[in-house]
Amino acid sequence: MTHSVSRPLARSEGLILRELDGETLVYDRERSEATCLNEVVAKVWRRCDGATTAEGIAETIDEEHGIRVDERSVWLALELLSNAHLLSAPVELPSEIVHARTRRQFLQRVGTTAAIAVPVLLSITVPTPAQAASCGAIGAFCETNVHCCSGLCVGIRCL
Amino acid sequence: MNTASNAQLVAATLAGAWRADGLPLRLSRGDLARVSPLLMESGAAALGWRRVHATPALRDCPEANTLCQGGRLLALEDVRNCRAVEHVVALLNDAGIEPLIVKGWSVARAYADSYLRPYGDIDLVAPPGQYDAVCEVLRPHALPKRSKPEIGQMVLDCGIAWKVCTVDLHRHLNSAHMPPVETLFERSTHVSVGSAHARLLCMEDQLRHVITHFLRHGAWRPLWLCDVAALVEGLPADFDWTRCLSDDRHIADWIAATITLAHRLLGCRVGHVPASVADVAVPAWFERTVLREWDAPFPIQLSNTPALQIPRRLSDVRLWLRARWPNAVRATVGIRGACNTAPRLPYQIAHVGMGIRRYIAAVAAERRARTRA
Repeated sequence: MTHSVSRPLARSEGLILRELDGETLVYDRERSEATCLNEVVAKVWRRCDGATTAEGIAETIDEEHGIRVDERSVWLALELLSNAHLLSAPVELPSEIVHARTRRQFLQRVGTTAAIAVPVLLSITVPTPAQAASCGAIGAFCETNVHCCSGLCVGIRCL
Repeated sequence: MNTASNAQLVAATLAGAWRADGLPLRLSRGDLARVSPLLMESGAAALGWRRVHATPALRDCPEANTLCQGGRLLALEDVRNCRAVEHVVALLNDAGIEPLIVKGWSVARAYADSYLRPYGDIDLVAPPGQYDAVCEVLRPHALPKRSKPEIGQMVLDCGIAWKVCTVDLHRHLNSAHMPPVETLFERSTHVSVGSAHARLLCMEDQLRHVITHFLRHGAWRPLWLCDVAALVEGLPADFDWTRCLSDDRHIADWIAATITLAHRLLGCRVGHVPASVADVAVPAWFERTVLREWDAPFPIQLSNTPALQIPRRLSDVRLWLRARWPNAVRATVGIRGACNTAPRLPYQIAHVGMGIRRYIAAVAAERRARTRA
């Protein structure tokens, strides 16, 4: 059984990471899921060292980056990260968060304005874009039509 | 009011997208919605997203979402691909072999960021005389049901490299348009792939290979002309045009016409390229054929065509014929024809005839092999 924690630890195994245009992209090899973290969630995630509390994370981000992150925003980010299986164990949410579980409710409570950075985590779900691969020439071995430049696989040969 | 064709939208969106400086895009939201699936299907989602991302008016609109997500996926895929290439090359290094990497990974280096140029296979050329040795190294890692080692196609369990990866192993590069493999290796340069070591074609051979590959496959993929443009813009000052163009007049003409086309369609910067190469007369049928392909730049437009059996319905006949009919570029290059203004129909007929001859020869050879076995 997995226990929830109040000092979150970021998962590090089985993940592929990539920074792109201010976002952090994460591919979970075990779950075959891709996720996009905005700057706030990424900063929270990087500070999940298993020793720092949500309050501590908010202070660190504020001090180091000058980004005003409300402690409640950190909790929201932690919940998003937890749901995306990017933490080693689920976080123990404070009652305030538990009772305002939807994002809309939470943001209303925070009374968020442009002054407070909002955590956003998106699933990346689109049909896989085509890769650049060539195709079989006439006479090449094939299994299906898609293996052949002509689109015709006859028997085991491209026509 | 003129409405831009799909091909024109594709060209406008991809123009300059390989560069480090993101150029804003002048496109309506409706046009973006039209061009997005074309870019996704042809492997140019990341390039398209790069232009859209540099355009505040389009960046956050719903029509941009598919490209954005596609670009993100390709960025993650790039990490996996790079690790897979490193893994495969390291396997060969352990056996004392330094392969030549061509196409995908090697071309992606010419782009501002490697994720902009996706690739599915790891294309390797074995050093002269070491093809069998390379096969021996890779065979134990190949998934038997999905690999065809007899033709150099192996799907490997890349283990620590995070994925199953496809290796396309070559003895040589299309010998009709490229120098012998011994020459390619002599001229090749060393490259580090993470902690592993491989060879890359010299820039002259690289450009020639990318262009002839684009042509041999009928120029249907816009990404391949972006490859040409990215390479041309990054040519070193000491680039040897004589070596690249070769002493084959036909190949030289094709290379010049393709570079001129890249300039015309994609805005490739050619200020450093001799006018005899970058400003030549491009036959009208060449540009027309390319744009027609880009109107629907899908890898296999014919996957639903009926197989060899004689089509019974009239609608099937059209598909059946289309599947066999090479476009003017593929037909001409396939039989080493000239890039001139002469009609293309004779080349297309000759290409079909050559295809039938090859097919019969391949089937006959296989039957002989089966009989012997």
